[in-house]
Amino acid sequence: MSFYDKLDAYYTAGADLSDIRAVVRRCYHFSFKGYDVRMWQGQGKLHTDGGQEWLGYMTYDGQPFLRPPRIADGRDGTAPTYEFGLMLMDLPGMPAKVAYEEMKKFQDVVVGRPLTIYLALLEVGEGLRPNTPLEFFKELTMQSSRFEEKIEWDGTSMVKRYSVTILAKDGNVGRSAVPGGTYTDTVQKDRARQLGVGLDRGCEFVAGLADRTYVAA
Amino acid sequence: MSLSYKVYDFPPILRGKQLFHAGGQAFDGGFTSGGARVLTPEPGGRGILNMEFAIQRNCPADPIVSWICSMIANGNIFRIPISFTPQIVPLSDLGVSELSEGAPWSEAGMTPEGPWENGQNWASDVLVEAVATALAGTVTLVVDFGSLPLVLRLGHLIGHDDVTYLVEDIEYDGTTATITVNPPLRNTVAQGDLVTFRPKMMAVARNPDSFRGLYEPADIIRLGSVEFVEALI
Repeated sequence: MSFYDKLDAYYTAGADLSDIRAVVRRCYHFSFKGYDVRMWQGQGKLHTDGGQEWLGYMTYDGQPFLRPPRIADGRDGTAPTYEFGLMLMDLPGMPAKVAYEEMKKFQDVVVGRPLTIYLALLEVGEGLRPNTPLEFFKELTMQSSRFEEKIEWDGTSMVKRYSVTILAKDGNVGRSAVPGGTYTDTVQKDRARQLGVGLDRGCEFVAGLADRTYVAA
Repeated sequence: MSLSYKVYDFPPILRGKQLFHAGGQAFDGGFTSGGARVLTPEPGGRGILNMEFAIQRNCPADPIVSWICSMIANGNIFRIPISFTPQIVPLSDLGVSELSEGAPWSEAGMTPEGPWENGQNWASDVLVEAVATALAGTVTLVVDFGSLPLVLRLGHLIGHDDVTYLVEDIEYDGTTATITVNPPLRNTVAQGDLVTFRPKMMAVARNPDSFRGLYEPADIIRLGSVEFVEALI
């Protein structure tokens, strides 16, 4: 049963809103180049079909490793900047320090990579392997990153923390950007010349065809 | 560069009190129409081990106390045997009470006697076999008791791969038992894997300060209580 079918099944006409039988949490997939980070809003490893493991970003005393922003509805056409505060953690094959250095050194590790958000429905008695497939919620594109490393006394021990702030935007980004060129014969020929093409006649008739009325034969 | 954790075996310090619980957490879930507060259980959660220590000798210096005062900090991971507690199935109930002192060195066929005998017996263990695969993240485990008596009950602790689970529910069908565990299985239990009645737990101390707080340079000391939180590896 899909995510929304199951929710509908729970919230039938007679259901009392205080009868809580399922929990919905968000899952974040940061697809850094060569370093996939999957996190979910909870504790412990969440397992999904396909063998993916999502790391719970809450510690046992409620401290989050990830500070996700509130996600806005994109229907108004704006592309707000979302800031994700992510504390890097040691993953098999990629310790936090290495990931941190890679991200700092190569901007293509972050820039332009997708960040996908899903919803997970966890039923009571299901443990950390939900039977309901994850539901797509939002896809963002990571635009840039900021870095911070520090050594902190957390009350009991000295802790080295590598944190990255990821700036991401949704698909509305670039809608207000100035176009990169115009669709005229002169400009097209100049662009072709710059690219090393001798003659590009593709736009010769564009001006002549403008403002005409075409009817089906 | 790969990542490797060093896991320390928890030294045999005398424990006065010990409680493993895996209730996890809860969060505010809403209000019923009657105004009562409702808590929704947090999915997953963690195993927690509360430990208090018995009075023990410190002088002439027992450096293990000094060792642990340091090692307990900095997120070091300990493999802690859950022992000396009614939360585990007694060996006498399992019909193997002769193992209660551990297996003596002499029985291991060590002739001449082991060159590194430390005077303590070998740790003993009682195991049952999983008869079906249980994937990591699920909460149900099916084991076959074989010739062992069916003595595992609600509230007992079992273990697999150095993770301790609380038996939340158990249902017997012949010698096969279907066990509901909490926290959810951290590792996949394959068919034929052994599940132990003498579990161990990988854990990190949450409050090393209170453990060290009661240390004194005295003959006889009592260390402060400590709360261990399951380390998810």
